[in-house]
Amino acid sequence: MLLYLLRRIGVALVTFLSVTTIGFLLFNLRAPETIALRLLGPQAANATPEQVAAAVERLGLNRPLLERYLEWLIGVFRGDLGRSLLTGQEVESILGTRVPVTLSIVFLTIVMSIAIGTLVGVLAATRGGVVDRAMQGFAVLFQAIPIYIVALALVIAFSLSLRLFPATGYIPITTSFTGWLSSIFLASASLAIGGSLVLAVWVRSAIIDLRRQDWVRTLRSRGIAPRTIMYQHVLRNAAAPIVQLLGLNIIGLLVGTVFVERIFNLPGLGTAAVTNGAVGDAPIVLGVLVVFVFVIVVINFAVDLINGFLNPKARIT
Amino acid sequence: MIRIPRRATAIVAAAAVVAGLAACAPQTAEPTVTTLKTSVLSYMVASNWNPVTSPYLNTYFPAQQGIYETLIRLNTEIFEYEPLLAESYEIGDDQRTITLTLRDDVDFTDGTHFDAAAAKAALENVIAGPSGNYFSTVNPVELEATGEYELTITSQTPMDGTFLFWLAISPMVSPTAVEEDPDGLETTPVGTGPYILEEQVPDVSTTFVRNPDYRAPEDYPFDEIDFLVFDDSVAASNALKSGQINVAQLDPSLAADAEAAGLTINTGGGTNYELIWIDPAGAVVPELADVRVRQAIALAIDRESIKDSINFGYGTVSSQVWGEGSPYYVNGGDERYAYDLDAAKALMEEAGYADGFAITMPSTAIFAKYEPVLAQALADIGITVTFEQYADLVAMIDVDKSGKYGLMLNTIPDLDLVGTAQRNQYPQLADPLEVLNTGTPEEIADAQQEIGQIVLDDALLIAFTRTTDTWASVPEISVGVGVITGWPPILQAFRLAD
Repeated sequence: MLLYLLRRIGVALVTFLSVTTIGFLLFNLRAPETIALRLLGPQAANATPEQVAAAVERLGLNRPLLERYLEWLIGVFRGDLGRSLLTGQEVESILGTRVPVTLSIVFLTIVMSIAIGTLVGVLAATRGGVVDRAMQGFAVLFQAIPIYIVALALVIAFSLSLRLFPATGYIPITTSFTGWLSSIFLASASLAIGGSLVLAVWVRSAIIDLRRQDWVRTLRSRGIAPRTIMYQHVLRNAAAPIVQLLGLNIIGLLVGTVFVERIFNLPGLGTAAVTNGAVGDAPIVLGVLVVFVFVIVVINFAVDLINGFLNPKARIT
Repeated sequence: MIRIPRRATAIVAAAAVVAGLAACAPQTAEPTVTTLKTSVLSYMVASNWNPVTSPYLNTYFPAQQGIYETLIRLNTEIFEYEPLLAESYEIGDDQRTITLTLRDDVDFTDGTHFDAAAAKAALENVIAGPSGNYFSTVNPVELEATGEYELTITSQTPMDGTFLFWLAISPMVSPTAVEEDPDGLETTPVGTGPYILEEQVPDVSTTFVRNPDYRAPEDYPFDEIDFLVFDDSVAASNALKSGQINVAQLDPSLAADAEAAGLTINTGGGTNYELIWIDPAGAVVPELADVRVRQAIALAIDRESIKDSINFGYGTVSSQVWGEGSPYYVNGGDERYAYDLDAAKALMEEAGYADGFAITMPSTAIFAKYEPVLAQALADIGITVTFEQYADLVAMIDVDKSGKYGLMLNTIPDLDLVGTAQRNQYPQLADPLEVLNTGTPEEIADAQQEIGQIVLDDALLIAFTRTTDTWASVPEISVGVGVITGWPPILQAFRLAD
């Protein structure tokens, strides 16, 4: 198990270093003048060579690429992600206000996915027939519909028409719990609809599979109520693979947040990446990349550990 | 006893949860005329308000204008420089000296009195910081307080539009605050503007409330202003329609929908799109050196159709790149090249190119939607076009110097509006361009008109569309949109509607 653990840590480190290095290179392989020119904003078209040269020097872009990379990488491991090229703010402080927004969306999405996915999956497995076919049909349908379409449909229905939820904006949980919940409800619902149905398909399959097992038949023959067998025994046994699926879903959710944050104007990590990427503020985009890669690597690591713990065969692969 | 089905109980419970959440949602207040809630892009609001340390602090955008005033300002609604903290200004005959007579009734919000010494110190702070690099690297200036309320600025090169532009966006920040509390100034700005910063969440929202000591509160009708960051036009549109904000700049594709929802669409000048002839020697595409060919291209473009089909009906149709209000605008020139395919073909035939020719043009993603219609227009007079793509406008800046192309697609967002490629390359423009640097104001005005006329007659810049900025607002508010090329409105242009 120790060897397995060390190998997983090694893979996680290599993944983290590879992705962040590629990200850094993609942003910095352009000529320093091109990077500086973009940051001059509206005056770029009229910028003189002197102005561009001054900007290159001010931004430190005239230093060797390797030197800049090592400085950035060492900073990352020290928790120093640099400063915004446009505003001079520390990237950690910018991201510090944004991480809770993205995590809030992800958290509520997971809660909604588990609740809806489990409920619908159990219903489909136990009722069968129309319920089962409808669930599978909707699962395929919502996998095919892009998240932003679902999000826009929810805004039009629940914000603009019914006026039940705010169309945009984020309220911190420290300001108002209900305000926080309502501000992220539609964004999370947009992500949870598709995710929960995928989960439901897994739950349904696991339950149908488990209900055929001998031990379930034994429990039934002892007169235990079907509901008790379902919720206390079958679901518990189905939980392990579902937890692994959820771990993988969280990675997909992070990508989805980029879309919903923009549509609902939620100031999270995805919005920061898109907005600052458009104006060429590399330190912020790289900061978001570091956070995303870190979360993904940690989740993968955790999933690997759970897998190794539950399935001894995985430890020797 | 009535037994309620378990399923019904679950549905009722779920509905109750949703209804409860909805009830707890902050109710969207009716738009109020005392608070301006407008969308901005994230980079339009400063988050570091100290000019010495902030890399991107200027008063180009309205949010900064609420806090910091400038000696002069560019009123984008009429596209003229006008005094602000200066009562008047005068540019010397040599075009290298500007003398500003300052107001004597202004104080910074920390109590520091505004006079020539304070203005000099404030300008020096801007120049020392990264926002003022035009004055520190391109056109170094000498500052002298020549009276208690008179400041003289001497520059090394003649003062053109660029000089005045940088002067107009250099904020007057309390020199006392810069000296005594530079760190505090980063989050607590100290200016002379009509508002003070109440609260700011960087990249999210910024709230201004009235400066109680401002000299002319009647110029600014709103007691409070909220700048809310929206980097997506659809999200801003939704917020506007649901009453969360009362003003937003929208993409023209969303404007008709907003109008249908009862909102007002305020329009103005907008962005010019044109073909620029960048091969004056005729070395790359000799055919373009014949003015009749360039005029034929101008005549072959159906601008009305472009406006309706691509710009969603917004914008203006004109043969010239400069809009009304610009010193280069030629009265009566808008119809100079009204769509006339027969006349265009006749000109091609007269020039000896009835069979046409082929050209290659550099382009970027922002022109993509216009490429097919331009290709068709030129094909109609026998010219085959191939577009070569560049990453963005920044990548295209050096294209006109590369000597690879005869025509290029471009927009002209710069102040004096004569494309850099044209400078000193066209003999017919040499004299009036010289006057811009050396003439009296009257001579400069005449030279600008002459340049406009030459560019139009010789089809040096072939306008094919002029889009407009579309600002949507609740009916109680109006926005004075800039007359030229997508410049942001000044803060004072956000008004109560008549």
